[in-house]
Amino acid sequence: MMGRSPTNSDPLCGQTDPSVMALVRAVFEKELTLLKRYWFNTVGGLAANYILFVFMFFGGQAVAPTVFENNLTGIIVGWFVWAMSWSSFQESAQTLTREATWGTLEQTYMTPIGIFPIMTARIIVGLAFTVTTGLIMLILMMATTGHWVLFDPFTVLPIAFVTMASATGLGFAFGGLALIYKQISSIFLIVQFLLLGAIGSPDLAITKVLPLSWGTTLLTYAMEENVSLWQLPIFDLLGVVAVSTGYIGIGYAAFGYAVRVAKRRGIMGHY
Amino acid sequence: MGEFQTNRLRDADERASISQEIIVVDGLQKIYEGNNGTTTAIDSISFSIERGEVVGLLGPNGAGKTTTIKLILGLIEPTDGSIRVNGVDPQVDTKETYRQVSAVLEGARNVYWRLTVRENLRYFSGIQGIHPGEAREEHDRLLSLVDLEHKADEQLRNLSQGMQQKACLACALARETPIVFLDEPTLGLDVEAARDLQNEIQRLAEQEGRTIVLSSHDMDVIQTICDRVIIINNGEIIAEDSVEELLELFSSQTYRVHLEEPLPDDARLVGYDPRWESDRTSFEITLQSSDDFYRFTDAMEEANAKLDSIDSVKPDLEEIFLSIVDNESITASLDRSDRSTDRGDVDNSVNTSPVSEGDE
Repeated sequence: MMGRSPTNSDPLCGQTDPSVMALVRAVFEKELTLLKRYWFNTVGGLAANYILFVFMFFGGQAVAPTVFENNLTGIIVGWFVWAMSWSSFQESAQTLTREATWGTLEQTYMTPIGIFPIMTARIIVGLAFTVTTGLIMLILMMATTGHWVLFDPFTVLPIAFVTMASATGLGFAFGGLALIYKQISSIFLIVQFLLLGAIGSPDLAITKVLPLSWGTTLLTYAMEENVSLWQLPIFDLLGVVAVSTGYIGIGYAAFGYAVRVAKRRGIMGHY
Repeated sequence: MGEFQTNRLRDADERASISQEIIVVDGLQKIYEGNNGTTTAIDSISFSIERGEVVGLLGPNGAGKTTTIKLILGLIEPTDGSIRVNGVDPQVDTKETYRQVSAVLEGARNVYWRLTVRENLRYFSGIQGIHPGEAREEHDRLLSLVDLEHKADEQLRNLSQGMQQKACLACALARETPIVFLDEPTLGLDVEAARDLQNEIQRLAEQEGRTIVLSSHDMDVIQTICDRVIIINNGEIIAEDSVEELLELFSSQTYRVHLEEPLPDDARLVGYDPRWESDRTSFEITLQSSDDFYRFTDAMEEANAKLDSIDSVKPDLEEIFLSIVDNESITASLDRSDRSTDRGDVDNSVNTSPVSEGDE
């Protein structure tokens, strides 16, 4: 009975070129389905973020009212950037950890499109959802503080996306670490504070290379002064792009190296 | 779907004319380096699998079945040797490799439990680059194939383990690859669910004509579904043959002999080692050839044993597997003192027939 004869419907030779649009659609559908199916978790995450901001805002006002009043735009924008960057970091780093745990990482790897494009699609789709919830959060924060900053979507969204990319790069690098060392949730906590520190760092030449730092400064300036994207200094815009590209590059390289190590050690699907 | 089918069949014709061997493994070796030295997981194995064949990988726990599968899938990097999947090296051209292979690994840990069966199918088609909308008819067909039409819109976490594993199988098939690997597909299932899944895999093998590589502890699954069996132990191939050949080989060697009356205690069957029942009226014996068979009957006469009947014993695959693995263990322990500590010195030729008791 060696070698059954294939029938006419036999898929003897795999598929034609895979469609990237099919990939993006599949990822979008999946994320949207989960957001809707677990709406309580989605709303809960937004509420928790808002409550934390409310506590910080009113607590800070009670302790140092002048400092708060003078830096309200910075605080609102900083919180907006931090919430989104943490979300995009999680999307990349923790997704990889979870996928390894679920046994779906190997399935993601075994596609003709490849793990990097799939993860990138997931992160972009994740970022789109994050920015949407981030905007809701921004409106809630402005309503709570009574301090309305100008929001030009053609300026804010591109800068926010590029700025978030640096957190995504870090996410890939830490996702790679998770692939090798499996349990690194304690390090994720430290990263959360590091991101907060980078956002709040003073505007110095040396701090510009930190993830999120330069982008946050630019975003705050644009929203505070009502400056459009094309009115911003080209050096700053290119700088933000360069820093984020650097972090994405480092993140991808680190993740690629981690995949090779995991394949050599045979631990890609372990958890 | 139309264009896809056309391309698929055109490629199929082209490639079918090139080679029947769809998987070729040559001198494959995997050595893990750890704090306590090195461990040889796979020791220079070689085999090939033909297009449309259903091959079972058998072996005890830790024998190297899953490692072999993951090496072929490109999920583990080999230390030495080569693998070709339809002519492609999985370590070099992953894009082409994953157009050829899909896999169900480690039971039901391959799908998203918070999505429904259909949502999983759409997602896995999508990440394969197949438009989920265009694949709907194919998904309906797969749901029907694995008998999950009535559960298509249930979340995986609400299904029984057997149904979850069927869903995993459907998701692997949704990738529309010509080769499917199934690693322990019936692991953890109760008898009924395992039998049910076995039927689905058998139906799949017969209807789909895909090349299937299956590892399992479940001998029923292997015996029922597979054309050929590769038995692995301690990272080496110790037997490789068709299921029919293995059954035939072992059934022709072992006989159950019934006597009309118990053989006297002082009577001996000189030169033979019968395995007696306690009442000494029947025993099993292994004979190597027809000459050996006639010599044995002569020896029976000399021992004044009154023969009632001689039946050829037809062992099932489980007995054959245990016999081969046990024999391998004995051989290994006898040979250990002669072996070099470097396992690379071992004769790496592939066994094409099982090591029988008579070979010792």
